[in-house]
Amino acid sequence: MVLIDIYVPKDTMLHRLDPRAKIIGALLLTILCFFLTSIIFLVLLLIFLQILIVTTGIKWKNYSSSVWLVARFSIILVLLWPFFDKMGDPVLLDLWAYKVTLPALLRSSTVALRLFVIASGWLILMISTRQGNLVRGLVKLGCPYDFGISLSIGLRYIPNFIGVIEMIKEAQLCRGLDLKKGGPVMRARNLIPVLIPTFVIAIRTIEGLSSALVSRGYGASAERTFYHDIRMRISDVAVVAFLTTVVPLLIMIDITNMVAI
Amino acid sequence: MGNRKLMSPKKVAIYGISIALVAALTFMAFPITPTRGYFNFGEVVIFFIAFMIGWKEAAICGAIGAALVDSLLAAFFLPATLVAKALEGSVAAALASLLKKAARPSLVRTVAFSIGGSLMILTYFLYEWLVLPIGLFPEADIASYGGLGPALAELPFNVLQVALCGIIAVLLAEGIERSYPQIANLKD
Repeated sequence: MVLIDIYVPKDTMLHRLDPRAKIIGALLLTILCFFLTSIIFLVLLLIFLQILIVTTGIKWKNYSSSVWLVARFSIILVLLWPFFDKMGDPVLLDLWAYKVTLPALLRSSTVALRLFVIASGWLILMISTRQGNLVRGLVKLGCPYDFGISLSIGLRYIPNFIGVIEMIKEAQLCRGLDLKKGGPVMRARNLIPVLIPTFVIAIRTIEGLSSALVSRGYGASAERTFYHDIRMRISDVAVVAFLTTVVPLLIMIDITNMVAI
Repeated sequence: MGNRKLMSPKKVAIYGISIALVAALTFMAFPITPTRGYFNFGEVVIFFIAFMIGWKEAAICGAIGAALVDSLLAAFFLPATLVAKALEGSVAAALASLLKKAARPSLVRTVAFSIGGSLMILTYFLYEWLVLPIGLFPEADIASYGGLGPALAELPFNVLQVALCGIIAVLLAEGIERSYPQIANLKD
């Protein structure tokens, strides 16, 4: 099966944490990253998050594919940065329009670190939270119930559609379709025989699914109850309280330049 | 939630399947350029929904479907993706519907995806240029933001992606309208 669901079934502290606490944590971390300018803070945060990721027991294949994309963008960012940011001293490298200064290098590294920290935070959420609980958490946080169902249907059908597309692609390849022939426009056009059946299957699934929803009593009662419910424990409340206190504090320390660099 | 009317079952199914399709095509990479680069075709679904169903569906399914993949692979793009894809889908759908009687459907849809797609490209460009390095420069130095480098480097790939996905979506919409007329039932 395709690796779109990277949840690792384990019983760690992170897994036991209420999905709402983890969603709030990931959001706060994202906000924090856009405020933090201290490279030291970001490095410490990144190390802490990597330790948390290791404790979740993620498979190396999933971890590396996620990190590789962030790393690729970060490398491009650091390499191209000096073309436009030439401010500060000392100059480390001066090759005509390409001038690398130490402050500019620190700035580009700060942005690259921000990317890694944000990606790590969301990765932890996805590794340690079952998709069903993620949706339940969002509904409990105020997301309308019907949007919650749509989201869980979406998550459930992603691997199906990836499988359908692969199957149709293979069938068309057997009939002589060459996806690697010609320039970009030609190659894109060659995908149409793969996409038309995929979309028709999607439309038919919509029709079947809406009947299934009606037959299972969707919308029958205004007050919805859940068989598997989630409850905030004292430890979950403590984590949320800790994060909502620490994040503004860190931002204040950073804004007032109490930590140099 | 009390008195809010629930969406119809058909709408729930449309949202769910469209989110899945956007995410599946964003997650899958296809070899398009002969030398390098694998493209994702999530945009094809967003434009297709915009042309065939409606602006709200295109905006919500586009934003959530792409954000789901971002949360796994490149979460730092999440805020930009939510805005960019919602803007792209809603503007393309609104234009396709507004200009419906002005010209041939393929021409109207081409104009719609070009403008919607341009807004998506602009959102990512501004995000990479101005938002990612936020706080690292004094306001006066906005022109020398280092983020301009990667933002410019990404630009041609985003333009090519929108152009290819837009063209495919226009052809796909015509093909499906012909081969599967029941698609009209998905509109309210």
